[in-house]
Amino acid sequence: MKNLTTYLLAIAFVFSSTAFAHVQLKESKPTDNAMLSSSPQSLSLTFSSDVRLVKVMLAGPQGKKVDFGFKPVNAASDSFSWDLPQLSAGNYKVDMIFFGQDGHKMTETLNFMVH
Amino acid sequence: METAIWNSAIVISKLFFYFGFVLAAGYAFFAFSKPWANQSAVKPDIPKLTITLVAIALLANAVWFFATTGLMAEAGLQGAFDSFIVNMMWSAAIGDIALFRAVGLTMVLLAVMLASVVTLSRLLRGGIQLILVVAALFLAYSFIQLGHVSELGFTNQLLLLFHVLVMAWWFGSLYPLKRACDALEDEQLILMMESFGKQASVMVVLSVVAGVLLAIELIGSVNALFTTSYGLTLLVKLGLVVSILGIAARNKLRLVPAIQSGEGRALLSQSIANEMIVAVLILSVTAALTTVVGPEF
Repeated sequence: MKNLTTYLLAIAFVFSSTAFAHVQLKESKPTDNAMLSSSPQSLSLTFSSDVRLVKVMLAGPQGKKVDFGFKPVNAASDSFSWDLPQLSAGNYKVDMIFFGQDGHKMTETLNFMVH
Repeated sequence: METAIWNSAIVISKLFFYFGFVLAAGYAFFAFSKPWANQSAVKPDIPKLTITLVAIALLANAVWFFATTGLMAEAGLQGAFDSFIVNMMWSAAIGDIALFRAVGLTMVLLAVMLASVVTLSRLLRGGIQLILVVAALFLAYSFIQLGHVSELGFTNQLLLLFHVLVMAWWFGSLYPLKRACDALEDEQLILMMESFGKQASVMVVLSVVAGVLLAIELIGSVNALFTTSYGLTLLVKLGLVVSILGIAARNKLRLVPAIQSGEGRALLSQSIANEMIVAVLILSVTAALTTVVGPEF
């Protein structure tokens, strides 16, 4: 029994570097908390591996929804991009829901400001 | 609030799927075993319960799929049936799992129904056993397509497959064993318990070791066992596993040998009932562990 405990603890330390991570948002344009001098031309998202995007919502000043033509697509990809309409000055928030190969629901939020 | 409702629906439907799977595995590996096959006194109950729980599991599997879709869509009840999101989920891992489970459960349902209405020739019995084994593999395989394990290597997936199958066989055997306590003659009961105890002592220990190895791989560090909600939930599960192993060891080492003296039978029957309660708790913690808390939290 003692040997088994020692063995399991040893294995635990050997594997201690393999902590597990879900797929995540790797890069975005605009970046999170960006301060922009003019309206961004596009919104692009890059993930650490292929995801399916269920929802991407862009909300402007006073939480008003901005339609930029997002539609969920059935195909998985690690990068997505949309042209944005002219955005007036104010704070913007992008909320997204996606899932990777493991099927876990992931959410992410980006904030940016247009001067 | 919406997330909590969907998560509850997912955990509960998963638990009912587990019940069906466990009963199916218990039936597949146990109802046809030699000491059992001759015991017509206790046989009719087992297929009836298996059919009922497997049918519920089929329904639960559908609830699980739509609840997972609803959770993903974040658009209320409508979101769960949004044709686009449903399609998206169906073409991803969630859909594969739901399909594998539906096929596996349907195979079990048909096989158990067939076995309980016709007189089995040797050939037919073999055919049904084969269908049940294939169905059990389908169901067990569905476990490795979901969550973090789906991204781990082949060896780990094999470990999970083995872990899931042995646990299902063990938990699924508890009800037939309890029924045997109430109905069989001493000699037959001892034969059955001893043969089960012999197989279980090897398989279960190996399966627990496989589970522990997987847990270590998923959790990453001993520290995370005490500092994350996933780790703490895993500790609760481990505590329950230790207690069920304790009950099983007492059954095998003390109560089964005491059957002949006339004292063991009632105690053994009660002890297996307790074992079933702990098994349900373990499955409940597992359903929550694999839904609400992930290794990264």
